[in-house]
Amino acid sequence: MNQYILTLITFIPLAGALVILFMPKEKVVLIKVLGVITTFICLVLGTVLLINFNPNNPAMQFEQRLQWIPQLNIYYYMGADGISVPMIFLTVLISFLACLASWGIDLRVKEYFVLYLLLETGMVGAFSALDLFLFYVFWELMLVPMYFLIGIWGGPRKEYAAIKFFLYTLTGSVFILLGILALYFKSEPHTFNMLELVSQGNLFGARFQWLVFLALFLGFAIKVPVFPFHTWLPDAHVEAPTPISVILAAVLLKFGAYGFYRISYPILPDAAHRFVPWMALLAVIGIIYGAFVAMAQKDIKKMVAYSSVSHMGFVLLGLAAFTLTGFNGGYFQMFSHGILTGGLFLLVGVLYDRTHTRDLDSFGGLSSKVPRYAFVLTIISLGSLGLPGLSGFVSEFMVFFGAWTVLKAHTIISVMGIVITAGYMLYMLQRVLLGPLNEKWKDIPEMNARELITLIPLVIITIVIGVYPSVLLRLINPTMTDLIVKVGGIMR
Amino acid sequence: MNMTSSLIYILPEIIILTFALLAIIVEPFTKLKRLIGVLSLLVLTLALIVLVLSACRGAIGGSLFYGMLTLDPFSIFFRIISIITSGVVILLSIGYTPLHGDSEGEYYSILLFITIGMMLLVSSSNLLMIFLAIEYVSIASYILAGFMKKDPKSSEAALKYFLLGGLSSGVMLYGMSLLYGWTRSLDISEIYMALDSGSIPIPVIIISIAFLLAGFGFKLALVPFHMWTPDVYEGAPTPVAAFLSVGPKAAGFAVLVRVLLVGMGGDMQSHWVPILAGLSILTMIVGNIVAIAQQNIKRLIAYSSIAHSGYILLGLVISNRMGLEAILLYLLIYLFMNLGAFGVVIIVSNSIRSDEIKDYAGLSQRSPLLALSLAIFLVSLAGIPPTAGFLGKFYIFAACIEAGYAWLAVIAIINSIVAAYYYFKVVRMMYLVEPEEIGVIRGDVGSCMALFFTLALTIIIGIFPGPFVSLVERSIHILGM
Repeated sequence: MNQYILTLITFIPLAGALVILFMPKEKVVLIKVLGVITTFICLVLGTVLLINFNPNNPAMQFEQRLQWIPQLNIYYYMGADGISVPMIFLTVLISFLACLASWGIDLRVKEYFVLYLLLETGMVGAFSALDLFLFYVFWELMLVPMYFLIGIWGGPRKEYAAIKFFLYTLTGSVFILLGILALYFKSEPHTFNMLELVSQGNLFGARFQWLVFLALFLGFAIKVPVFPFHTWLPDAHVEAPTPISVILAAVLLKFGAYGFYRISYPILPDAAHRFVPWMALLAVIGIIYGAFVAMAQKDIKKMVAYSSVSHMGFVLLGLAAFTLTGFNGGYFQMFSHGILTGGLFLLVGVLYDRTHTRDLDSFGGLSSKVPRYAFVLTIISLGSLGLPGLSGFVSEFMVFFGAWTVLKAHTIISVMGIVITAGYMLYMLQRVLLGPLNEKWKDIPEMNARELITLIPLVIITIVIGVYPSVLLRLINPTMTDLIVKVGGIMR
Repeated sequence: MNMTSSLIYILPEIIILTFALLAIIVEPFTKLKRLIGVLSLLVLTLALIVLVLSACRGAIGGSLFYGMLTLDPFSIFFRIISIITSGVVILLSIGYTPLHGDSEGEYYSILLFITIGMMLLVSSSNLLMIFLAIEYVSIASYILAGFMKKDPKSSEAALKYFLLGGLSSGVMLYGMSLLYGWTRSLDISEIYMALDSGSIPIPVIIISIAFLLAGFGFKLALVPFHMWTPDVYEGAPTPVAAFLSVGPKAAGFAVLVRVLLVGMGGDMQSHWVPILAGLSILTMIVGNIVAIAQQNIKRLIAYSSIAHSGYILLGLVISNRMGLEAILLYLLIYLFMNLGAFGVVIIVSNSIRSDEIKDYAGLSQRSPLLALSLAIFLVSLAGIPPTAGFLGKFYIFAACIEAGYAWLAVIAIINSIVAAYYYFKVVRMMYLVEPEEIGVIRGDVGSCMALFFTLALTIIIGIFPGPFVSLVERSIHILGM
């Protein structure tokens, strides 16, 4: 079982997509049920993966290795360690929840679920692949479904947003391809195997490492997104339909940071060291700039989108710190951001479904009408602004703690980001929930059971890992310790 | 090998030739013109089987007809490609209504004749034979381009193709005569020895290479010799355009590779590599940039096919082992994806009588399978995994990186992003724009079979490339290199 579990989680959505492809498009309910069942099976398998994962072993687990293209020494090589397991779990969880949230889709339902499931295959595959060629194939597999999902089911400027997302990401990924090829031909014997490349990494010269690091950085930075490569993000997030915004924010953005943890840092440690000043600088710019721009937004979805730029900056700061706590904190932030921002986009979707507006100034006093909604929105927003006891606080605290000794000035400025974040989050809560009730919404219905089901798991997770962070840290710490040793960082 | 003992090795060509001649004779006396098409398909299949069997039995090395033709894995690979191309094109032509009429039977015979021409061309190792084979293929192509006699666009295409083609042949012949005059040989291996001896002045070598490249550049639609391509593709019957974009191009690459690597390999490479690199960059950039503005899908594919020539040429610029493999693999993949894309265009134009991209609006709702097929072909042409097109691009980029030409890879990569943009313009039309008309578009049996075949291979090569890569690895052995 352990050998095949990653393959199963990866390809069950594909199988589901193929089944749906051959169903008549009129059977809308059946297609939706099938989509939900497929993602649920993946969630169950993802939970099994989490349970069977041995966190004390920093080596790869659940490995499966099959020859794929023998002439180029390419393998179908899947495996997971502390860096991938939480991300795979996050992916299957968010995919399931967002699939439930897709229940409201009524345009071209069949195509939607086919593409949606295809996207899930790409995401899980990219988190599990240990062969760079395979990784790249899965990475690109996410691209085309996403183009359609934004372009067909999106908002008014969907076409622009879709092609912009597509071209930005494609540009990034072809540079990743260049980097991968350079690594392949530099390694001896030529290999795409990430683990072998890690062990050969110190043989690569400084200049070579630097160039490859830059090529990979471009690809990953666009995905994170790092300032100034972030301009696709507000368009894509705002125009995408709610479930897809959730997937984008909660899972897709993680691939950029995952790429640093999995590929750039362990394989090119010297270049990563040299890049620290830039990484730290871009992190700080992202945190402060993203927060300020978020504060200025009138569109609630755009505000959440820019808050992602700011929050992902903390991941970069953790990476720049080169300390164990920094790495752990950055990773914790990835997970926490996935949960919280996924939740925020779901909540924005709930509101939009009822009011058909996202203008922050058009709400007001909703807490009296929809108390359950108000409760969930408050928890998630507070988590996002870093209230102690919720997951956002833990990750930000760890990042600051990890970065403080090495990057004092950067840390001090970044702490300001928290203040600004608190500012725009509370301002948002105030404008939506508090104040006098806008008479237009006096009949606004409360959240229904389906919407609650999509949000409650996220609330629970953010509280649990906020109060008792070792649930997550226990999983990642041994692998991160191993990584810190490999890249020659500070063990603190 | 002498005449009679060589004959057995060109049995596939003889089979095709016999049938084509018979068809020409019988054609005026029969009403069942389409039957000739079906029979041609069977004959091509037979020829393919004979070819593959003889290759499997070890008939893969040696020169035929006193050195006029060469029998090596490289030529066998391209003969197979020629036959498959013609077969798919015939499948696509059978249901193409504008071709139906009195002369339909001739059309299939001419296609068969071209097939023979291409098969001879890819085996030629003698400048005279090369020239004759090129002219043979070209003249038949002119006829096919103008096959719809009543359509002024088709006639214009043929005339333009003929005039420019004639000019380029003349230029190429001049280059060949220069080489012959200085080296006193037409055989490319002997030319190599003469050139390598160092007795021939460098300017002469460079000038003859330039003239040769101008001729080949025309056949391969390399910029700046590409002017004919969009007009011919637009005016010619669509199956012919499909054929021209793949068949003669593959054959042209084969003979270019042979002439340059056998006849001017070794130290001589430094004379043509920079020229070729420049041509390749120019071809990619111009092809891709001009393609963005196209409103007609045939013109769009025409410019995209120019750009693809540029990528393939990179393989020859590198011309190490991986570069050669990249050329062969790319051409094999390009055959399926480009013919497939043309297949959808043929089916759509049969039904709505238009090749304008805007008329593809909402195709995904009118005809989901057709739209999905075209989308997969375009994704493959754009080089996005897990389709076959990615593998082709991957090999080209890999060859560049391996040889240390990272900057060439960067140029190619930037070009492939531009290409993705215009391919997705069509995808956008099909999926994101609502249809103006409703009504299902259906293809005929032949085109659907062709579509299924090309689609299956576009996906299979992308996901299980192993056997195809090993086929290519075995096929890069060129005699005399």
